[in-house]
Amino acid sequence: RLYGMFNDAAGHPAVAKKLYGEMLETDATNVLASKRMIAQLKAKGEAAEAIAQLVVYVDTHANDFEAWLELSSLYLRQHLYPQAAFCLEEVILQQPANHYFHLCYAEINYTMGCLDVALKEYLRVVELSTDNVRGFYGVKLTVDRILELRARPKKEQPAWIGGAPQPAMLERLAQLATERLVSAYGGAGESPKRTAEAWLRE
Amino acid sequence: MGGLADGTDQAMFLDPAIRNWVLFPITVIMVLVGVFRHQLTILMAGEPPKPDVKDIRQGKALLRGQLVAHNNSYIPTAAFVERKRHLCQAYEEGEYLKNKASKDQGAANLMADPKAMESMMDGMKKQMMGIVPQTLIMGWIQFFFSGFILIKLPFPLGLRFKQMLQSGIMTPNMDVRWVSSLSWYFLNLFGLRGAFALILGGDNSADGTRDMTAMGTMGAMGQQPGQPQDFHKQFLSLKDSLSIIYHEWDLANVEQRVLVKYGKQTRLFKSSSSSAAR
Repeated sequence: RLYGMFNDAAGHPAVAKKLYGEMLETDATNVLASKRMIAQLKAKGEAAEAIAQLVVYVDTHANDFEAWLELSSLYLRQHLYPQAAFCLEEVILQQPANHYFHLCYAEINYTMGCLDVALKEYLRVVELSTDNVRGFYGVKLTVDRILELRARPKKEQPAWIGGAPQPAMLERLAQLATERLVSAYGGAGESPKRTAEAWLRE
Repeated sequence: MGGLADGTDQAMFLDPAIRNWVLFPITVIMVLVGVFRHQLTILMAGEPPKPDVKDIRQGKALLRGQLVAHNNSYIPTAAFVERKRHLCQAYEEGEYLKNKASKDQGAANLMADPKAMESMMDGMKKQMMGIVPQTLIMGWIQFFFSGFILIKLPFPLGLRFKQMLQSGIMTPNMDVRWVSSLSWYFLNLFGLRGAFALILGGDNSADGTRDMTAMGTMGAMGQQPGQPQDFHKQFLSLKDSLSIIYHEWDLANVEQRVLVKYGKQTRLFKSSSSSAAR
């Protein structure tokens, strides 16, 4: 049965959809069929429908972290960052030691503007995986932005700035990030190294 | 029958025909019956009952709550608070429960749930399969192979065993080490468990001892795993444990930890987002 379905999905989506529908009717808990239907919707580009169905799926199978991950990426495509962050939090709850998830979460927060969370998450990434270049870039960028925000007058500062680390600590973090990045690029070719150093010195 | 009265080594010669016609056949038959039972049980068992969508949702909601409670230090405080509030409210109202209406009735009556019935019947069938062959074989051995000794046990036993193990032969003097075929049956019962594990794989139904323990616990048939679990009570207890968690974000002092890790500073005591060291 399943092989027939996969073949169909390659060539004839309508037939496959009907087959999946039948499978789901006989057995509503069939994980494979639900996932295939959602994947079909996604491939067709019907994002809203795919998101809706995936939400229903995740409501039932709340511990399938891959589903949460998929939902998060769907939200990201629609630029719905708070929802994506929520999904990623679910994923982190289930896999707290995976530094990649922390990285994604940090970047979503950075994009949203929650720089305090972003900074901490980037630091976590760097703690979990030594010399993680993306992590260190994130640290440096966030620190720079926070410092810039602090330099502004009180009225323009966002609400969370009071809880962020002090400038001295931020300076040290930025210094550390720069150092590690330089050493990470030490083994690379000449031209990336030079661009990186030029940027880092700013 | 030689042998001294005070129980030193009694030398008796057994007819080798006994060995050929009793010892091995009993073992062989027990092995065969065990395998047969195993296959039959597989035939009769059928597929385990498939859980309903709502059942899965219940179970997974419980798991999610436990995960949140367990790993709460890895997500920011705001996120945790939001989840806590939502989950507590949902559990209180029984939102994830299978039958929302009956949440106040306590554990469902075991007979009312058809799925529970089926699993109970399966369990009983399996036990029947276990008991019947045992009784049959015991009776058969008693009938055919009584009245003579079969083997000599290599280890000494107390005198009380005499009655049990030498059931057909009434001699006051004979060592308890000479036993009848019934005891060989018992020996096989316990011993073939290892052989069955080899032949049939770990979880096989040919094991006689498991049936005996099952018979013991059948009287105290309390909760079976799965069905009659009262999810509402579990949700409520999970809600209680969630609400008393004091959330401390694991990343509160991650800056210091990172600096320590890369050798920039020596270890300092915890202080969330406080001023720089030294």
